[in-house]
Amino acid sequence: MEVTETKDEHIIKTSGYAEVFRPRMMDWNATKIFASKNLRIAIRYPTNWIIWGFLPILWFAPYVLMMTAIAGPGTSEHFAELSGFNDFITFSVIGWFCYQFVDKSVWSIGNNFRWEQFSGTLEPLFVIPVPRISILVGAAVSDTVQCTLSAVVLLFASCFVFSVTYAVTAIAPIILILTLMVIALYGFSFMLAGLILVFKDPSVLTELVSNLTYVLSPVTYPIQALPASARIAAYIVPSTIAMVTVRELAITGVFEPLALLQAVGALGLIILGFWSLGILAFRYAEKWTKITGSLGEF
Amino acid sequence: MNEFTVEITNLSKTFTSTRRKAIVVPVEKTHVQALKDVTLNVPRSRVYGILGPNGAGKTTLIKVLATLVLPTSGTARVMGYDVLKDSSYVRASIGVCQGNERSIYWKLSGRENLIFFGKLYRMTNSEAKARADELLGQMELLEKADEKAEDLSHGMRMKIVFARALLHDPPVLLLDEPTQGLDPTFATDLRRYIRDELSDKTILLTTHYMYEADMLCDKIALLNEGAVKSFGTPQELKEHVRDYDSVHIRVVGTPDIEAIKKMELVLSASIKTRDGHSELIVTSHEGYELAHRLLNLMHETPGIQVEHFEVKEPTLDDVFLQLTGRRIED
Repeated sequence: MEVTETKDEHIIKTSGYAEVFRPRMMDWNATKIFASKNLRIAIRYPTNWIIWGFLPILWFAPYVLMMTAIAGPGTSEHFAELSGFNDFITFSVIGWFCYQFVDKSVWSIGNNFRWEQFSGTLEPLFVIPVPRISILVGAAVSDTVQCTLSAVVLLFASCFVFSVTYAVTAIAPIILILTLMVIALYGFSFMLAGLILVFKDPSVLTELVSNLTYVLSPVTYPIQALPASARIAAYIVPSTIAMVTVRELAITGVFEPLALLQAVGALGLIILGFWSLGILAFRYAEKWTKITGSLGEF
Repeated sequence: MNEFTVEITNLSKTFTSTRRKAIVVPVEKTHVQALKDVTLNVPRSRVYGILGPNGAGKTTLIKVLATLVLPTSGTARVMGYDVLKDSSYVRASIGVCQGNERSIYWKLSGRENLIFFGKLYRMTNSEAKARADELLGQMELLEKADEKAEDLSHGMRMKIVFARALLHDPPVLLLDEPTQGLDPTFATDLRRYIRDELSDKTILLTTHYMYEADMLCDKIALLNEGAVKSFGTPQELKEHVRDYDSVHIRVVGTPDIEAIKKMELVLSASIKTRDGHSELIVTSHEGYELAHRLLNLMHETPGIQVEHFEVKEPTLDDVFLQLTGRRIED
């Protein structure tokens, strides 16, 4: 082992990885490696295919049946007046499609860390000099891939079962808006991952936040149906802007650059806010677990 | 040049737990001092052992060095890097093996596990694969390399956990009870590997197996209730009890340990009772004379039946018992 001194007399350097190592703010390669690992493990649980392929449509179907029972097939005059759209199935499929990402993205990192904690692999991960943010994003990306699969299955199944059709003229803006929504939700997820590190059992938190985001997101109702005060809160949830914009683009097929820019700007601000809060909250939570020595505990 | 690879100075760690009413209102705080002013310096390429019973603070010490737990006071440096200020550099310099077979992904094979962690250490895919195969070969696991960890034995999984600590060829290894729960063959393999293949590494090893510490460690710190009670080479530590004998008696029933402790000639005494059988270890300057007296006492005590007795040379456990009144295996 070669030993040399550096400017700081305390530092000993040895040959190999430790010598060439320099910390990074973000390691995208580690993100990719972590996401690939998660996907590889997910594929090895055969029951996941049921979650990706069938469950979303099962959750969605009762809503459609109820709406059809109340309003008759397709629409009601009041719905069309309130939402500006003619067909509530076409309208709500978009809501459910987006909500797949909301539900998964919000919980992906926290549940992933909880799973690593239970598996006993969280501490070994945390003794590797990889930026935490890389692991956080890696966990989120793997879940986004899984939920994209289930959202696409939901979309195509809905097109087939309920005979809904969408305009495909504005695919790129739709993908852009969905991507920004998912990135914004990651910030939210960092915060919740921190809470899960501290509180361990996420059940109460899961229920609370999951239901709040569901109620405030106009998944199955037009945003205009919310009371005015709740509407302000709804627009803080990144999925609201995304759902409203994607519905316009996919159902009407009309692309309005100004409206899109406004949506992009608003999502950009939400990303900035959620990521800053999320990273701060996670760092604080990690420090707390190191003080209490509870990082690897169940 | 810095003489020591691991420098621990007056390190203390106190865990505080808070009992709360209605989740948020704190009503009672409990403090547990896991480490008390621990000072220990490990030179390069030496194996130092931390020996102590459960709850002595061994794992906390390893976790502080591994940057998983923040110390309350004092300093710890690895390769000159402070665990608080330069935690990333510390992590790059250490390999950590905790005696927990669950710390690898059971749905991945041994090779996939090592490649995954190798790539996190910035190896390319081919470098990680080559390094994984090299280590699997050294661990005699190449034939099982592609089997999922869930299908491997406990010992094989522990070997993968151990191999992971070596992936990036770190100069410092923190081994926290690496042979715990292993069957004797696997444990012997790992000990031999540590002794023969890792002689260039600086190793901090926690264990409560005395013979393991005796076999592997250049120096040993005896830790009890968070404090270093004694420190030296295994031979130096045994010097403490060189003039002592250790009387081991196995009996049916439970003798009165307090009465034994008060007997003339007795220096220390401990008892372990299980399934109606008790094992007594008593130290004395005059082991044979004490054994005679103890046997008489046992014969006179109703319900006690002597199964086996032996007067032994002192071990590190006897040193520990002498210093703390506890046995390491407690």
